[in-house]
Amino acid sequence: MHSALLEQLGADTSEFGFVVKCTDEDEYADSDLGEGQAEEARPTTDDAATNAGCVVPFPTNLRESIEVLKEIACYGENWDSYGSCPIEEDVLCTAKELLFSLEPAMPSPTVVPVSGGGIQLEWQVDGRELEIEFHPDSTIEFLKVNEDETMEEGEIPAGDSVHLSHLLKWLSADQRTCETN
Amino acid sequence: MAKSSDRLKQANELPGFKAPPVTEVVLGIQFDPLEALTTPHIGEYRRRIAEDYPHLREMAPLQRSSETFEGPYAKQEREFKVSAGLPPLRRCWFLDKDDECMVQLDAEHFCYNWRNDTGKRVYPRYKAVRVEFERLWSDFGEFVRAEKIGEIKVNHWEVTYVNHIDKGEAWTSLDDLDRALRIWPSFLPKAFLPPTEAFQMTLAYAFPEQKGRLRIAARDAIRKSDMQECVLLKMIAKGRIDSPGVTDVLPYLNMGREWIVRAFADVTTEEAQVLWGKE
Repeated sequence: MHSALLEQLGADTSEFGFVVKCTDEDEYADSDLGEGQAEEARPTTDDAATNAGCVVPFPTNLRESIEVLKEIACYGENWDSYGSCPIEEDVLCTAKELLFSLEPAMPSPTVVPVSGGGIQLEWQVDGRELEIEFHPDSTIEFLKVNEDETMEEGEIPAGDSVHLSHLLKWLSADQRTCETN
Repeated sequence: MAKSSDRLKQANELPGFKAPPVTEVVLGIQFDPLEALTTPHIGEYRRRIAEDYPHLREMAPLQRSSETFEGPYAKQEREFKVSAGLPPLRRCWFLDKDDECMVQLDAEHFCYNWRNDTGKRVYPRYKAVRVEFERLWSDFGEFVRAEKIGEIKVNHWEVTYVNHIDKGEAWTSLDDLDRALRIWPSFLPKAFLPPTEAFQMTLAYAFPEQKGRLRIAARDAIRKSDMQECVLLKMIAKGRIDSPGVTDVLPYLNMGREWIVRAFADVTTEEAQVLWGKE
């Protein structure tokens, strides 16, 4: 499943080893809404509401991608005039999950519908290009174009969130800095 | 002219809405840790409620929290107690077949949630949610007694309402959000500032006699399922139960709910309330 793979991208682990007392200055910092959640191993009782994760802070940098994705979601039969089926729900969900899991510093991808019910996300960053295509049969393919214009392509095996994560890190400036350091 | 008795009745009645923007309601109880509650007990409890709540998800346990009134209002004392030996029991979600209602249980919390994560469900109203909570809470008490797990000593209650106020529903941009929310400042100067990009606010209100506290958290957001922009309005009422041996928690929950409903009517505009079918 696409979604399972993406869940792993954001997977969190809990570690316990002390008795700690603390106070919260900011209610948001300890809720699903806050930025500080990753620093806390255990959710607070305020997280007894379980669907807060169904909404996320609006990623203003992704507004254009989101608008395209919303448009694509409305495509009907034969949207490409070559008889394509509508975009599969599972593919849409996966593309959304990936969008919403992107680091804030990541550039907004171009969202492209693919005949047969798939979606492709495309980035171009400082001479590097990355395409990730989600197919209705749950496979994910990638095409990576390096700065020297050499290309790599392949399939991301089901459940291999590490591979997907590495591709995104490669694309991001942070990774570049890490490599040069 | 309305009679004084009518006016009094009106003042006592809670505002109601035919189609409120509520997407989740939680009724929760925190109690002293049930040290003897073990994983096999969880399995046994699962069997006990499996007919109505057949699905299971495991989550990290909730932190213990303590509502205090000493010091700054927003400080909420928390303690996460960690054993050097066994890890704490996970929190279990026991979900019904539609993922609409669920029981949450860990060693010191029991919560009941009604959820509208699809946006297509009709809110069954507080009374229906409370009745099911009452049934399950009572049954959990019987289970704990029957299994000789210990005595449930409740120490906190909590009521949470999560609302999604969709863009296009009374408001169309963050700069006209005052059409939906009274707490949004409509007087923001626009001579220099560009359109508002994002917002986030938290308000807190202490109940009289330190019976509890209401927190209202609002922010702009997007709902992942349908990519709908919305305002996430989360209202959490919570308080201590100091008297030992309290078994009837319903009055506390009713109080929390009343505060939330009255506050909701306070912080939202008439224009928005009409859209939600104010009764």
